[in-house]
Amino acid sequence: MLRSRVPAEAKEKPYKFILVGKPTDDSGFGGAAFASEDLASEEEANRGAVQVPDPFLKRVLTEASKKVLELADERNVRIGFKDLGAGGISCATSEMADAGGFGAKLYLDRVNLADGRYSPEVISCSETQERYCLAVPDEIVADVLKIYNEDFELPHLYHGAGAVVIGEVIKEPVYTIESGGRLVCKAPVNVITTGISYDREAKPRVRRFEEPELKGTKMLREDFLKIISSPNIASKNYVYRMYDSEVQGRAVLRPGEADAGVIAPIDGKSVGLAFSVDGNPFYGLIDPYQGGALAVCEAARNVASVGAVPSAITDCLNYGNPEIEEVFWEFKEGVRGVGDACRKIGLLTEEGYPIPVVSGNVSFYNQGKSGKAIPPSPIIACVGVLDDWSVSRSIGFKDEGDVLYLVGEPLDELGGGEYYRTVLGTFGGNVPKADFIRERRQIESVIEMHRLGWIKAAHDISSGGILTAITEMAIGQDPSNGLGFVLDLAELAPTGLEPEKILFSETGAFIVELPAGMEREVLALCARNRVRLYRLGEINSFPRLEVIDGSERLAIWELEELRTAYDSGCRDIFGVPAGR
Amino acid sequence: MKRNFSRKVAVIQFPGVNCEYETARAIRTVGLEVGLFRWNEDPAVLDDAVAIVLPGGFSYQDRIRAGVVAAKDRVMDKVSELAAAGMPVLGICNGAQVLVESGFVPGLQWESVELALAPNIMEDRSGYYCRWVYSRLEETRTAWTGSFSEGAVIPIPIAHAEGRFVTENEKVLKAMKENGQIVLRYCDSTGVVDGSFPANPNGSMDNIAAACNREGNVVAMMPHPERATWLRQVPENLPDEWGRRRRKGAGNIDLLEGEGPGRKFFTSLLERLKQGGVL
Repeated sequence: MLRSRVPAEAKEKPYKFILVGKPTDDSGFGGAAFASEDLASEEEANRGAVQVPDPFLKRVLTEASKKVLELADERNVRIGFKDLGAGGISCATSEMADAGGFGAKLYLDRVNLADGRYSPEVISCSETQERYCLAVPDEIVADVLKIYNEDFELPHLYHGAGAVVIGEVIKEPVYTIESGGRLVCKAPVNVITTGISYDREAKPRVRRFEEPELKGTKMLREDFLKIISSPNIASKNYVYRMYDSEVQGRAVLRPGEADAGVIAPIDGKSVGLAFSVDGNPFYGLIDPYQGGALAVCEAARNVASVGAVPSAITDCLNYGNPEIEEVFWEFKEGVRGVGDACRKIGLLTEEGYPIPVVSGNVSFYNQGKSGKAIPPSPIIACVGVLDDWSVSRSIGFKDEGDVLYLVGEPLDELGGGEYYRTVLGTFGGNVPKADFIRERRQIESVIEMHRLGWIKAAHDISSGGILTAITEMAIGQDPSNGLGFVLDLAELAPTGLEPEKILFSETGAFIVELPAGMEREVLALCARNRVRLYRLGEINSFPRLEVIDGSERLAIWELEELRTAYDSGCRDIFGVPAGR
Repeated sequence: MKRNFSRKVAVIQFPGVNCEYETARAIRTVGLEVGLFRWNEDPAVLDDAVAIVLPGGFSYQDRIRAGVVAAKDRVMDKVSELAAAGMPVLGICNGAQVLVESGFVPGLQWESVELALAPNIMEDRSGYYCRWVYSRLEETRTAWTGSFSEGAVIPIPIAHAEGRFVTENEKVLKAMKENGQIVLRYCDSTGVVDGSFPANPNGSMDNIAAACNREGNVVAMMPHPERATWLRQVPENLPDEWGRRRRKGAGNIDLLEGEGPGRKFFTSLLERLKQGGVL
């Protein structure tokens, strides 16, 4: 494994630091200062703080770096390798040195610069993208430089780009930088790499959220068309088409085809990887703890929907100004929610271990000059692992006669949800309460059904509830099949909820499509795993969706009108029909 | 170290291409050997190759316009020489843009640029567009399409911002039609070519999705056959036989690793090389 540190071999032989990539400029300098500015229209003033990525150069660098790794392998030498991120050169080199138990001596005059004159602190700390730092033994330095500068012609492909030796590894744990013959930095290396901690006050934010009066299902037909075309629910195809979801040729399920994207990463192997990203700011607004917890639950459910075991998450935590006590409280609550969910859902493959949080990103000060912060918005990305990617299915209905089951149960949890906001124009108060044990059992059950090869389609319940989930499954089918469904609320009568609460509750659960005649097996599996199961009915061959309550019809839609509403829902945001 | 391309298909790696590895895998899947050629290596080593593929991506960052810088690269002189001698050459997406900018396709006059791959024209949107589309096979005579049946309807993904075939003038289009140089046309799932979006996803003239030189050994195609080489790659909800096959294959890795709708572009090459006694 390639590590981001100076190898232990540097005790026996001299090692150099090589900087490779884009010429260093002042982009991204002061990223930390930017993070403490309120969002406003001073974009120009802050441009220097923004990093400027270049995927072209990154691609060439990646190809060249692969050759460098091959070279190190052939010559049997160990090297260190690190991407330059926050803090630029000074951060990468000090961290590599410290992680290996060494020090470093750097010469800024050797750094290849973009056109312009930069002060030593800019050169050493700017966050110019597409740069890497390598620690390599002297014996291969010339060959490494040749791969980057001659074989892959970096200086010819990008003005000022290339690989240069910028310093050396030293045994004393001291970090020095020279510039213009002057010593501009000298410190014990661990002083540089150790973080600074703040003491911040937290105070609960008091807000009142109340449950609304229900209005019944008389207008269900129109109300649901509003929900299915609301930007939070509607098709995001307009966006998906802007990105290459096929490159590398490994796609099994693409964005929009299922709750998670799936790839088959290794030739000739059945192992699959599933990816999902999720977050709902309205839950966090009502209850910041649930906001964090539910984001993890949903991301985990999403990968389980395609049969993958939730195996790691990364987070992107977006909050207002942490110097405000209520905002810092929201942040603490969100982090607590994320942590609890990871610990209590846990790794299904290692009893007693949490789902690891392998990396993360925190964005504070998300508020305008008015001081109004964004709602607490933790975003969670989850990676799931499949033993066999071939069990992953799209959410679309597959065949007439197949049976839809609800794995889980709707509770009186519509707060922050789509029905309250879009139809009743309020947030409500009963935000879903993350029940980690229930989530874990449901996730385990659905993954087990996948492994047994039962599942022909699966979709998790989230924004918009059961009716939205079933509709998305109907829309996701091969359009030439024209399959439909009749949802009978009588099947869900044991929940004791009002019809609209059954239809739109956002309690975490799954809808699965299984072949006919499996009732006994499914029931046994769910009983064994102690999860609720409801048989919802059979897929029919009429291209319609219908909601009935026993003998009473509450609403009926043609599949085509649902598809049109779903496809065009993002028109107001994107200014275009979003479906194709 | 002398590179050896004997009996191999050479995949050219310009700086910024990003489809070289899956393209190589797709070619290997039909039983051909592959070598990667870095753009600035000695072009003479390509003399031994059996065919050349220019894969998709963003060669030279699409500077000036897509494909135009790579078209002037030294290696393209060698490709020109080998193509003129009859070697099969396939350009996929960015590779197609390079072949068009080099004047190899349609090649009515010697290396004169008579065709362009212009920015997409679509309904309600512009720019880059990634989606599965349908194309109809119009020419089985080329080195890359012999294994298909004439008129075959092929679902296949596109992913480009500049894929609209435009000819220099009406005469060029007429000549291309007369010479049988239009290899693929965009169509709907039933094979009907009607020219409207989204069946024609980029406004391409005469619905052209792929074109070839007069001889048919050099083909420039905007869709990506390497992204339709395995059944696994096909979306489950395609409204056709391939969609049904994909759904039937669920749970069966061997079936899903089997043939996808675009593999025949590479099988065709293998057949052609065998027929020609090259392999």
